[in-house]
Amino acid sequence: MVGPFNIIIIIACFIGILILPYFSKTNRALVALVGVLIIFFTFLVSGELNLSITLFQIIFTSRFFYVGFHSIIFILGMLFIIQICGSAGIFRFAAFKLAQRTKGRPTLLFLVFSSMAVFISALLNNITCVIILIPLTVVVSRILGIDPSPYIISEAILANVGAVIFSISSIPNILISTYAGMTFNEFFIYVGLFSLFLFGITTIFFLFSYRKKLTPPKEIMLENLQAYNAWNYVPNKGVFYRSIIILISILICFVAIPSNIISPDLIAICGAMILVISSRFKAKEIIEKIDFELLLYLMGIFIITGAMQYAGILDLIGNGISVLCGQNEVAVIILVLWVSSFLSTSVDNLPITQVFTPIVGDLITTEHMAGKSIYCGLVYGVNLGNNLILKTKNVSALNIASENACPIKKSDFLKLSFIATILQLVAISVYFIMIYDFILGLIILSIIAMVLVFLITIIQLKHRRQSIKNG
Amino acid sequence: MDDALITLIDQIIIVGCFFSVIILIITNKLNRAIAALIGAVIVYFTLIFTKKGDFLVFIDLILGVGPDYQNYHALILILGMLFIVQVCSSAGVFQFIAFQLIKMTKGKPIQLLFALCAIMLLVSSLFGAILAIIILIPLTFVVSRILSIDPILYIFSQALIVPLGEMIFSISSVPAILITTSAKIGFVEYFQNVGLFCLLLFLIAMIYVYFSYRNKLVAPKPRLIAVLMNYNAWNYVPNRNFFYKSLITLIAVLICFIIIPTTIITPDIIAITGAIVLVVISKLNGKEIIQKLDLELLLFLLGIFIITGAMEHIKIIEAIAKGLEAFVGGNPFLTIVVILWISGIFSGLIEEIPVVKVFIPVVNIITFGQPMIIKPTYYGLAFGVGIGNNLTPFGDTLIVKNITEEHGVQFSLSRFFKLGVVICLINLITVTIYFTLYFFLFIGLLTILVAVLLTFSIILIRRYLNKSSKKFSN
Repeated sequence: MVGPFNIIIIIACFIGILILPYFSKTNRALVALVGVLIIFFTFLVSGELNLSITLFQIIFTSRFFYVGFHSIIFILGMLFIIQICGSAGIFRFAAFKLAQRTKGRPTLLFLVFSSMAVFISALLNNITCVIILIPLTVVVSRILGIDPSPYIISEAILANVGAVIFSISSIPNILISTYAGMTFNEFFIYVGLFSLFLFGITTIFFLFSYRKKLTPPKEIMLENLQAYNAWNYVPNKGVFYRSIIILISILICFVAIPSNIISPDLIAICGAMILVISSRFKAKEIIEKIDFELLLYLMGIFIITGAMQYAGILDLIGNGISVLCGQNEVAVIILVLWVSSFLSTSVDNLPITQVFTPIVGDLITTEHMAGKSIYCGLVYGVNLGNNLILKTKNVSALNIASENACPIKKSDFLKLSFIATILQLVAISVYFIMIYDFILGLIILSIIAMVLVFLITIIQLKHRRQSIKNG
Repeated sequence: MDDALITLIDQIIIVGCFFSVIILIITNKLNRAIAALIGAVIVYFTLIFTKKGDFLVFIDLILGVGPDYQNYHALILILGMLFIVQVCSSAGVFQFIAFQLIKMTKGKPIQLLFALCAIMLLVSSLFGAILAIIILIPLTFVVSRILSIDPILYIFSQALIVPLGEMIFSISSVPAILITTSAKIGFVEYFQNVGLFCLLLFLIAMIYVYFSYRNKLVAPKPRLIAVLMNYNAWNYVPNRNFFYKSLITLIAVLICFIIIPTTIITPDIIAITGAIVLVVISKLNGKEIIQKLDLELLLFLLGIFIITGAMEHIKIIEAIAKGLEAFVGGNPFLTIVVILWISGIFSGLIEEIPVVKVFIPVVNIITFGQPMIIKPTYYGLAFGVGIGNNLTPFGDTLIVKNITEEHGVQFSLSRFFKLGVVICLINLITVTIYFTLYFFLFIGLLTILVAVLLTFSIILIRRYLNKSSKKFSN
């Protein structure tokens, strides 16, 4: 139906969108719009569609766009909610109160900060989490006179684990769950529960690697911490209480209302509107701060991936995957997991998500696979993958840290985040193998456990030798 | 419950939503985008629960019904124009042109008035009201400070010209974009029928302003004029290279609008292509430009699309149209004139965008079966909505007021209101005469004759009165 020339152009545009924003400083939304226009004009010039509008009609009336529309409204609502709750000081207040409760015990403090990171990024998103939490960590560690860098690094990395807990936690989740028709509860059962386990593994890993750096603070410093008033973080108590109540009721609505009665995007936008009115912030300022660039970028990607689907490129990739893995679901899940995670290292994860979701969707229908766990592989892959490299959220985390006079070495950060992510991906793969084939999974698990024990003993032996040498 | 009752409940809720959104916006209780979105959500729930509608209805409401998707085309066109406006305004193109034009007047007060108004007409026709005001009102203050003259008369007349400028091109304002995309009126066609006549309306308004102000316009001192002539207009241009690039792109986009027929490439695609080219070659920070785009306007539009679309869906608009139809009785001339005056009055009293969105389907229904008068009726709507802005000193005039008062000059709304009402009525009457000519040449000519005679006699009477009062005072 679509000529080879057009297919090449579409693929070239897609690759351009992936690569250009990464290598140069061009804006991603602009690149996406340029791509859309190029595709549009090639269709127009090649005359495959006598009226150029037809391409857009196909995209708009397809299920694809219908889904895209739901997700845009969903994201718009969540952007409002993030904007207001982020500035109401709820999370800063909670984190500070908890930090005071730990009485400065380093392990406990570490646990508080990392679980706060997961919590915030699960409710809002990971960039907001980094923006809220890192300055606070620096303040607390200054009061206590301890080194903040282990806390900051673990917060930045764990923000991604938080992003795979709820269907509202990140934009890829919203896109995937809307496409797959997963409800909030389903998403939490399929993906979120295991993420809590991932959180456990990752914190143990961090505690292990930082076991010597976490030192208890002095007594006097502790008193300073207790004397500090956490309410300083709350600009307005009325707004604070109201946004807590509304945020909780939005969550309850997500859990309690089945999505066939009211779809989650409407819950999100309703909640957002109520939040805007009750917060009595200047609505104009809130709207100006909404990430319009993200919305434009998403629309561009929707159209380009829609064109890819229309031209049959996505079917081709899907066929490739089913040839590689056959009818084996576990193989598909693990392939999707690793491929999507490594692809979303080098480039933005939104286009990757948008390409893989329909592919997975088609695989499920054509190969009669038992649905939703394949989407889970994708969710993990695109969310966790961007810790493999220094990118958007992690770059801003390092920037915020250095703005707060606490510079962190890039290489240190990268080393830890890479190991942690690989650990997480392996854990997920083992988990899926265990679900489908318990004994095989158990065998792999025990092999991995043996390797880990072996590695740890080697490391400790080395340390011992060094300490003997040092006398 | 039976269907009729459910439909009635639907209608009550949705109409209630529409009016409460408008009241909230007029009384300035709530941001207009938020108000419209809340209304939209309520409307959506109503439709879902009472009509068992699904999400596709919602998409139809927002994008318009296929195969036209008029709302979607309008949104893309507006988005493209927002981009172009954002970039060109930071290039200083129009500040530069305006200042050069002002220099050419050599400080003579009447020429200065005319030049300021003409440039206001031009800028608002290309960039829309808000930007024209933001660019030109501060410039007027600069000039009036240099010449040390009273700026308020110039600002009043500029504020009166803005709505006229907004009618000139099909891309000038949101109402014009909405009307032309849904009526499928081309750029050139719109300009020939509406834009050109707006120039006449502009002249009439200028003549009126001239006659009411000619005694108050005083010539500045020659020394100050010399200062004005020495002022360098290039001060307004941050970067000459960028200035030329954006000027060329802007002209190229306009040429594309004129020469490319809408059947080949729709204007929204031209606008967005021009916008993206402009942003890319200007090498400005893309993120900053996007963040400065008027997302509030777009959200407001989406909300209004949904509410008015729902009103269409549950046949309220059909009822309005039927009512109007019964009133005009299928008479084409009466139809146009009634649409003109009603839309004029309503757009003066409430926001223009909701009025346009309600009236477009009304026009569609009312002209059904009379293909000859579809486009003239749309022109009538465009005139009415545009001219009606001058009826009340709300809307864009409030921005003028804010900027004026930031510069420490009092802006009297009541004084402006008196001037605005007169100009609005004169313009509406002129357009009515225009349509009379269109339909009944003879009666039209007769009315023109009467109007001219009346004007002359009024002028003569006033002169006579002035003379006699002078005699008395002597």
